[in-house]
Amino acid sequence: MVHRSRTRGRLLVVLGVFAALALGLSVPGDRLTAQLLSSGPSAVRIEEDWSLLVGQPAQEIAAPQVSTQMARDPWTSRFFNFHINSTDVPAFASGGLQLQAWKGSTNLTYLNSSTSPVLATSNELITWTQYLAQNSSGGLTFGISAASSQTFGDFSGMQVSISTSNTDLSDYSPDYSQQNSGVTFGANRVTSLTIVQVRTYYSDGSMTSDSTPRVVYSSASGN
Amino acid sequence: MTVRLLCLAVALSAATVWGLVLQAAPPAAGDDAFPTRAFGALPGKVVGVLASNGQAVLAREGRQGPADALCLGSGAGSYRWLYVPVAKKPLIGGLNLRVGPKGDKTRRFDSLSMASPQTVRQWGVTQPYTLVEVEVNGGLGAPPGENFVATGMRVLEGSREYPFKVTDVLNRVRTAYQAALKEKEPAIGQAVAEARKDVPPGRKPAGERERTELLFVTWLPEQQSLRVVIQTRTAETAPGPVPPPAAADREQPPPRRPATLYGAEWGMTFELSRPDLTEQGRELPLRQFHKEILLPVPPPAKTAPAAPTPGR
Repeated sequence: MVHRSRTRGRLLVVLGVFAALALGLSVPGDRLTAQLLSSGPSAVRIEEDWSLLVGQPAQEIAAPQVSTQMARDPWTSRFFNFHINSTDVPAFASGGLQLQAWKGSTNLTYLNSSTSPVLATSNELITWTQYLAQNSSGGLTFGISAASSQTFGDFSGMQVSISTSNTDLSDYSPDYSQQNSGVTFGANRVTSLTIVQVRTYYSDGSMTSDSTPRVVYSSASGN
Repeated sequence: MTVRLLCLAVALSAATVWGLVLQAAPPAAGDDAFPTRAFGALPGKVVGVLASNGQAVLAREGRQGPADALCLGSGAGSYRWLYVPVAKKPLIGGLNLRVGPKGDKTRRFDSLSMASPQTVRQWGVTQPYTLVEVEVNGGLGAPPGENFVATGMRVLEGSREYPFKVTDVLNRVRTAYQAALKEKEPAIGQAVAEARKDVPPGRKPAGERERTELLFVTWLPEQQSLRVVIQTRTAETAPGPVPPPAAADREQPPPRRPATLYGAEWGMTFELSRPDLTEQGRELPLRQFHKEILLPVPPPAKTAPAAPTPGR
């Protein structure tokens, strides 16, 4: 279901980028432009901190189900998904966790959690960091760290890797992640899904952070 | 001379609130008054300045957040983000945060938003800059890091113990700073012109100038003083050639052209102490800077269809 939203999400990202470009073009020395398009060291690792607050889950139908997505930039055909409380490659199954790597509509690889428990605890808070990083083999690695959940325990350590000729993460966009992630089933059973903070690590060892909370879903606003 | 005049102006104005004495000090070589990702542990309660408009200062150290978010300036370190509990429409349903000065425990906090003018109104904060006492992570304190949860807040300024308002003090300091800046303009203009000479070959100055003001305010609990740093950044851009159009490839980002951002930075730092103590206004070094950036390339202009010729 998230796949269906990709086209719309990408369109929004592209429109947003062009809006930013138009803004930058109107003021050649504009600070925003300089910050957005700094030509310094390249980004080698992105970390997103996520918070999922479950409301009242329905264990018998494995609701809710959530999928988050990351990509190195909004234009690439390769992207990564993280599924919570269901797996759908090669076939759908309730419960558990799954990492997926895609090129367009072709699945490149996936990894399931070792067990497949189903969400059943009211008001459960699930927090994790998902990262996208250059790896030593010249490809990209998508994985999970700093994870905490009553149902799934500490699910840190899951990761998948792909080979690709372009591993530069300098055009990564958290807006892409926000627009292409969501509650894929049972949204009425989720209180909130939010990207809390994003950190970018660079080839010279420096780091930047964006503490703007990006609400993917909130029962308070219904989006 | 400039500094002495400035200090006199600040003394005359600030003394009405603080009863302060001013002393001028020369700029220190290599002085950098803005902290860079410097975070110490916080106790269960901390006094600091709840500050708005921190984006430019935060961007300097590679940090960003919501435009309306408030930060806490306490001690000589960097601004901290504050999450605050809210009853309606939280941005974050829940967070597990490390608490205590050593961060050896974790505590869950629910229904949070960032501190903003709206979310801190529950504690009577109404000014853009306010001296407050904040309860940190439910009184457990926080380890070094960018953020914590403000579970309680109390406005201190305007009281018998703190008989001033930070926003008013800042307005006076800024007025004095602007006067000093005006005197410094010729030197700043010369520094920008010199920086322009060092633009790499093939880059042509666009002729437009951008000016940014950075304001950093913090309360130093040990010294019982307010530190204010103001810096003015004057920048110009020299774009390079437009790259040739790339082959159509949907995986390629929009084209960009290299450019050099250059200019000069100058500012001052002030420390305003409690009555009967000494305040210093100190000039920061005038510095040139150069930075390589990428600018967006405008899409090709669409040719308007030719208007029909009358009579044909």
